[in-house]
Amino acid sequence: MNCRRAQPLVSAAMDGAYLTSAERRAVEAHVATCTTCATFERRALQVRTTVRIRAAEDVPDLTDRIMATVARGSARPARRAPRPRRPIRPRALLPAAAAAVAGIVIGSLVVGGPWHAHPRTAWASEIELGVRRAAPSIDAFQGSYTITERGLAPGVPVRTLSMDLSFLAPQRFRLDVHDDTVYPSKAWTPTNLTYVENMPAIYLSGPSGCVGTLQPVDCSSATTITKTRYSAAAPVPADLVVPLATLGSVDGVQVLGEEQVDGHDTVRVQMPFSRARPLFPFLQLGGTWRPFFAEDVVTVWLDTAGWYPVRTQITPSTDPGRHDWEMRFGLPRESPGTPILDVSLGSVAATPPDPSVFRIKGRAVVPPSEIGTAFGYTPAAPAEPAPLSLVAAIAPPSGPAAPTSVLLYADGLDYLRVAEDQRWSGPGPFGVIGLDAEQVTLPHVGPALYEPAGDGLGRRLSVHTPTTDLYIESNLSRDQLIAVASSLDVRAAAIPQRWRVAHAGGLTLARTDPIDALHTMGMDAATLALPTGYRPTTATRSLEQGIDVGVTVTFRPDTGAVGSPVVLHMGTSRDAADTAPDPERVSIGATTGRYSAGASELTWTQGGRSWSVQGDLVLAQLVAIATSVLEARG
Amino acid sequence: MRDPDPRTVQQARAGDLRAFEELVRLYQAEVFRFAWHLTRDRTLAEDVTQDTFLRAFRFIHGYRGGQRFGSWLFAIARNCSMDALRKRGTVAEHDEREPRATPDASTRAELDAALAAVSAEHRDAFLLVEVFGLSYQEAADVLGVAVGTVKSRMFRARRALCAAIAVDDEAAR
Repeated sequence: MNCRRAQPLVSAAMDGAYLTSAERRAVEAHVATCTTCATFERRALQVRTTVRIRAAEDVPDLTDRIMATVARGSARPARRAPRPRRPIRPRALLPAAAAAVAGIVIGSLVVGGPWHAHPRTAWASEIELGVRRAAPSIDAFQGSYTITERGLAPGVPVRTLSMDLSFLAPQRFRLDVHDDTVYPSKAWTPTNLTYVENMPAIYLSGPSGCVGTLQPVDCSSATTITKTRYSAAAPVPADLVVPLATLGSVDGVQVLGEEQVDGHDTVRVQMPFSRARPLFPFLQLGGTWRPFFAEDVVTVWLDTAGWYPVRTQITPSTDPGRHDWEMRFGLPRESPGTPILDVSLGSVAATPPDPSVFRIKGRAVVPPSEIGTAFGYTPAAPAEPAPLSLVAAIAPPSGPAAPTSVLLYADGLDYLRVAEDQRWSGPGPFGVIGLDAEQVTLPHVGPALYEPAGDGLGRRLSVHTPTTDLYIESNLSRDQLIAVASSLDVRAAAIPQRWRVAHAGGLTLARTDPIDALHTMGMDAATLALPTGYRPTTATRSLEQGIDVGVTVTFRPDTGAVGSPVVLHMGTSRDAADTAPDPERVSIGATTGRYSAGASELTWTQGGRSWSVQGDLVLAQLVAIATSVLEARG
Repeated sequence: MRDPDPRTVQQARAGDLRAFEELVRLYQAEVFRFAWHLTRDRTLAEDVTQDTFLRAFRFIHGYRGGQRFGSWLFAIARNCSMDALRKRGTVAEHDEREPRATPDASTRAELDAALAAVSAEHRDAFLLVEVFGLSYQEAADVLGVAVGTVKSRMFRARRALCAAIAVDDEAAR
């Protein structure tokens, strides 16, 4: 045995490696007499001691940061990795983990995940970012739900329905609702629905709509089948996959906390029904459903990894105006403690659905190679649609307001449609754009009219050029929509003056500047007690035989969220204040106003003028706005 | 290195996030230390640790229990570290924020310098066996080499580190 042979064996023995008894004896004998090898062994042990003894505080606790990433990145069904250009600060690096990394709370984090202690304020922005980020990253989704509805009619106190949803990018949805209720008689038509959307085309089968009616005889017992080769509506069931329309902006949403629901880590949020309609797509597809009050409370348990709703409940609002509304619909007094609709996710699958379930005959899709010839012109297209990409070009059937071409861009659930008509000669802007649309300027393109999302439509723009008219509709955020539209290869012309005016009966409505309109009313926006984030976006003057009879200013959330507008109107006639069908007397400071729950409108008179404020707000908010108007006018 | 409860691994394989969190709590410090040694950069080591568990969760259904869970995790951590260093485009550099709270700070510093000087192959084997207590077989699994290779790399790394201490000893005299 020599040093060259002995030292590797010393090393191996230290590590517990097997030595034969002969090797062991030989090594021990050599080390006992060799100072070089004895020193090697001593120093090797010193190295071991030095490297193995560590202070625990050297190492950060990364558990919450890791779990936030793992939860977000893995439990989401069939989603692509998030894009690096949209970085999201790991949730766990917010206060709890920041403290942990600093070594302050190591060992004190609760079992079950430190992200459960996430502050509500941080959750609000986390939900908004998470939902926005999830939408483009999802490629497929399959969910099965149970719907429980209470209070449809005295003879049908509870209904149970099952619902299956499939989504496959790009832009293919299928929603099947099967009514499992045992009805008291055959007079009732079960609400069995099938809805398929395959890019431009939709298919709908089910009883004709009876939304809000209580008598079964009012509904058609025959199944109606609708096939549309082109639909301009926003994808109906999209918010069940990722509630982008509902929670892409969290204004007006209350974060209540975190809970485990059916094995999902969820965050619980609440909002009024008027703001949450996209979460209940089946209500607008037909069949029979009970009515819901605008202020009824919608609670959503949102999966914190996949950002899809795990459970959604509607409970009656405590708003005093609900009683009148109940009477109008023949409903009994409903307790705020009992859910009147519950939608529970039973299973969620990561596997892409069979593409054949989305098949609709007669789709009018133009292959990309034929875009130049199919329409007789080259449709205007955004030069920079990324991250969306062109998935279909459509030649819709001709009609009075139908476009001649539609280009559909998509990325996961995100979509953008560019509809074009080179012969547009309508009385107003091309597309579903109202008189109160906001005028915006698209960099590199020019003026355009913008409408926020609502009424089953996404955010939309209308662009008028000397040679063509474009209508762009999308579920992208306002800023993203404007950015993509700004890369259109067109130069916009000024909005025609005639589009700024509408005629209704003997009344002429003319667009005007909202700030000027507020000054005409004797106030500015800063003095009004508006909900947070609302700003004046549009205004109209009402003229009768050329004489001003009123000014209307519309306020909208500045985020472009699905929030209904608040409309403030000042009229010259006292009579206008008494037109509400179901008024209730309400005190506004020293003045008495009239409140209509059905119209969600508060009216009053002041200084010989009639005033009204209308919007999907609770009465207290309407009264606050009215009070601030009274104060502004002294 | 401790071994997890097999039921926890089984639950994590079934997609149970809470079970996986238990595994994260059990191993995150070791994985971070290993990643720090490989990258010599605290921030990068944190990212590598996160990436390691992300990959582990993604592929845990493929873990069959044929090797120790820790070894399996370290193999992922090593790959993540190599990826991170490649992306950064630099070799591991000395980070002043390194963990250095040891009973003998000067010896520790010498060892760190020596460890940085040995080849990556030798260093990796040394870390796995000496620092993290893996057997030669487990280290061989992590590194994807033969047991004999681990044995010889261990000896070479150990010899280099003993030499560093020798210089330290002589300087102190």
